[in-house]
Amino acid sequence: MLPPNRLHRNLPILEVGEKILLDELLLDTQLSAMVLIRLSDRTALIDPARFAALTARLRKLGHLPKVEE
Amino acid sequence: MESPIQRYDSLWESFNSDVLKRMATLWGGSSKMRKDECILYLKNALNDPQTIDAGIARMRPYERAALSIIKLFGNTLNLRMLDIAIRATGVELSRTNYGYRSGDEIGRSLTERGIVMPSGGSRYIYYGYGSDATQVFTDDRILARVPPLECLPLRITAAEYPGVSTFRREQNVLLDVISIVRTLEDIGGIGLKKSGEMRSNDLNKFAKKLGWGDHIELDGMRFPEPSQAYLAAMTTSGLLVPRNDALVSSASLEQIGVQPTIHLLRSLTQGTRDMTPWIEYGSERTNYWLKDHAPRGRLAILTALRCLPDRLAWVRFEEFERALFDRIGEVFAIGMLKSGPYKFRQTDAEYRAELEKWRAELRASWIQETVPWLQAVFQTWLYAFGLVEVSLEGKEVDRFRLTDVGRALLWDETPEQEIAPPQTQTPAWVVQPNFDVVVYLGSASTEQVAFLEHHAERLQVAQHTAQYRLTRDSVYGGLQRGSNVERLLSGLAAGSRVELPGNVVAEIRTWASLRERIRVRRQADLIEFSNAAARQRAIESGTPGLEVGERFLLLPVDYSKAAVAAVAPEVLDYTQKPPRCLLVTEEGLLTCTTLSPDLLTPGFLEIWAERKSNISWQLTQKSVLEALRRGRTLAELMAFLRDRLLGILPEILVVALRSWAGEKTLANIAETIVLQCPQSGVLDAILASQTLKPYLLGRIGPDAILVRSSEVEKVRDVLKWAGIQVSAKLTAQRN
Repeated sequence: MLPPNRLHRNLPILEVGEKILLDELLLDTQLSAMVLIRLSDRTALIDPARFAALTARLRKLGHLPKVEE
Repeated sequence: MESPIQRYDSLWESFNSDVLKRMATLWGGSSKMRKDECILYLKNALNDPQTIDAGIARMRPYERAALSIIKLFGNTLNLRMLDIAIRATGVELSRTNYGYRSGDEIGRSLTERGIVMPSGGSRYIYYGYGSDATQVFTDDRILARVPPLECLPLRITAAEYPGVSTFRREQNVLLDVISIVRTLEDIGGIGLKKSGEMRSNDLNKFAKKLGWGDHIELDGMRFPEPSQAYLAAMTTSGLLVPRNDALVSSASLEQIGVQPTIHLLRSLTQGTRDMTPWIEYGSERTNYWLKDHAPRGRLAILTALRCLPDRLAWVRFEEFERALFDRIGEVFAIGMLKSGPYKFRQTDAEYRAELEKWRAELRASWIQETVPWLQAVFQTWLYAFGLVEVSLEGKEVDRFRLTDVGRALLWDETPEQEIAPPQTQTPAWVVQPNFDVVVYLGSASTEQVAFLEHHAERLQVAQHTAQYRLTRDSVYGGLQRGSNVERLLSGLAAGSRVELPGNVVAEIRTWASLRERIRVRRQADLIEFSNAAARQRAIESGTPGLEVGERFLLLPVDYSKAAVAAVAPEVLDYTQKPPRCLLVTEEGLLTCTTLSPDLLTPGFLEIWAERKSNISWQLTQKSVLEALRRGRTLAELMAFLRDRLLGILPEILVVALRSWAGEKTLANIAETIVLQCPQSGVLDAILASQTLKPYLLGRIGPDAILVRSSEVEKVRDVLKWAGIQVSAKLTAQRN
C-alpha cells in the first residue's frame, strides 16, 4: 500500500534558476554540508539550524540570494 | 510618535471636596458646591472652550507660564523641572510672607488649583509635598487653549556675526537617526537583560557598525559616548521600544522617511531633555547630582533660549550663561546647591550681607561647575540636533544663534511652512557614472534621504551635501529590505537633477537580476506525494505549486490551507520536535524504523555516517571526521540523535564520538601476572609481606593478586621458599 501524501510545513528551501548553479554550489564543501537533500535539479532542503550560515556562505561566495523569512 | 490623549476626567473622584472646590473656582465655579456638583461643573467647564479661556485669563502669570511650558515642551514633566523652567522665563512669582515662592509652594499651588495634575491622581496633593519627582500633566483641552509662552526677554545684547560658524541641517540629524535605525535592524536590535539594561556585547556591535568610539568629534566639538546618548534619547522619546527582549525601532525606515523631520527632532530633543543615563560631560564625571539635576537644567536652557530678545541674533555664550544664572542660579546648579541663609535674630543689614555672600558663593560655584556643563550642552545635543549654530573660540563656544530648527522647536512654528524641505520628489542629487551620488541636502526631502539611506552606502556628510555610493551590496541590502528594482530606479530618477547614467541603470538591473538566481526560503511548505501520478492528479484538480523532483510540490506562500488539507491529510511541522524514528547500536549502526521518516533525517545521516542500506547508516571515525571538516559540530549530531532516537544513546558510543572528534580519552593497558590463591589466610599473608610488597600491584577479587610481570620470578622464589605450590593454571571464580 502506498504511503499517504504528506504536507511538510516550515521547511527551509534553497531554489536556484539553473541546474548547473546548484551543481556548482554543492561543490563547496561547507555549503554542501548545510544542504540536507537535493529534492530536484534546482531545489534543495537546507538544515534549519544552518539557515543563517548558509545565506552568509552564499554572500561570501559572491552570490546575492533573495532571502525570504 | 503620537502622544496619548490626557484628560482629568478619571481623576476627579480621587480628590476631596475642598480641593475640588478650589479647582472649580479656578474655572469660574462657586466655592459652595458639593463634591458631586463640583465634579459635574468641572466636567462641563473643560468641555467649554470659552470657560477655559476665561479661566486661563484669570490665572497668575506663573501659572499661565507653567501651562505654556507644558504645551511647548511636552505634556508630562516633573514638578521641579517645571518650577525651574518657570523661573527661567523671568515671569514674576507672587510673594509670600517669607519672600518669593519656593519650588514646593509653586508645585502645590499648581496642583491644588488643578492647573497641572499628578499622573497618579490625588496622592501627591495629600501626601507628597516636597516630592519634586512628581510627574504632572495637563488636560489636553486646556492645553489646546493655552497661549504661546510669554517670556521676559533675557538681558542680553546682540553680538556681531563672528565670521566663522557652523551648524547642522535637519537632514544631517535625520541621517544620524536613520543610520541608528538601520544599524539596529541589521543587528536585530540591542538585547536587554532582565533588569532592562542593554547588553554590552550588542552595544559594542552597534557602536562598531556606526564607527563610533568612546566619543565622536562633531565639527571640532567632542560628543562623549554617542551610543548611550542617542539610544537613551531615542528610548526616552519612544523612537525605540523594547520588543521581545531587545531594543528596536518603533518605526520602519519608510515610516521615519515620510514624517516631517521637525517631529523627529522634537521627539529627540524631548528624549534628551529627560534622560538620565547619559550626561553631557561623559561618564567619567557622572555623579548622583549631575544625573538628577541635568533634566531640570536642560529644560531651563531650552526655556531660556525661548527668552532670547532677538531670535535671529548672535549671542555671546558668556552673556547667556550670566543671564541664566540671574534667573535660576539660586535654585539650580548642575552639582550640589548650597542652601540660602535663614533670617534669624539678624538685623536687615546683617541678613543682606549674608545673602550677598551666599550669592557670590553660588556664582563662583556656577562658574566652576555649571558653566562647563552648559558649554557641553551647547557642544553636544544642542549642536548635534541642529538647534544652534555656533562659533568656537579654541575649544569653547564663544557665540551662538538659533537655527531654523531651533526657532521652529522653541516657537512651535508650523514646520511644513517654515522649515520642512519639500515633501514632493524634487531633484536633489546627481548620480555620477562612477556610481557616486552627490546629494544637495537643502533640496532633499526626508523621504528622499530615507530612500538613499535604504539603497546606497553613505560615504560622507558635509553641511550642505552628502555623498553616497550605489554598490552591489547596498542595492542588494535595499532589495532585501523590501524594495524592488523599479522602485529604486524610478526613485533615483525622480530625485536626480540630470538623467541617470546608462551604465548605472544597466548595472543596477544586473545586480537585481542576480538576486533572482538564488532564492532561500526559511519556512516553505511542501507536499510529498506517494508517487508522481498522485501529484499529477492533485495538480489537475487545482492544487497550486511548483513541481519539484518526481514527488514534491512546493506550495505558494498564499495557498489555501483547507484545499491542501484535503490532498495531504498528514502534516509534519518542522518547527515542532520531529517524530522519533532511529535505533542505534553501541557500534554506531543507525537504523531507521520507517521507510518514510521526516525529510531532514536522511539528509542529516548522509552528512555524518556511511550509508549501509536504504534504512541504515554506520557512524565511523572517518565519516564523523569528514562531517567536522565540512564545518559541522558534534553538538549538532548529539542534538539530532537526542531528538530522533527511540532508545538512549549508548555511553560507549558517546565516548567514541567525542574521541573521534578530538577529545582526549586516556586509558592504560599493560601485561600483568595474576596470582590466585583460594585460601584467604594465605592470600592475606602474601599481601601483608614486606618482602613481596614491591612486586605486587594489588588485590583483584576475593582470591587473586596482580603481580608485576617483570618481578614474577622473585615472587615465585618467595612462594617456593614458603612452601606454596605454584601451578600455571587459574581456576574459574564461583559466582
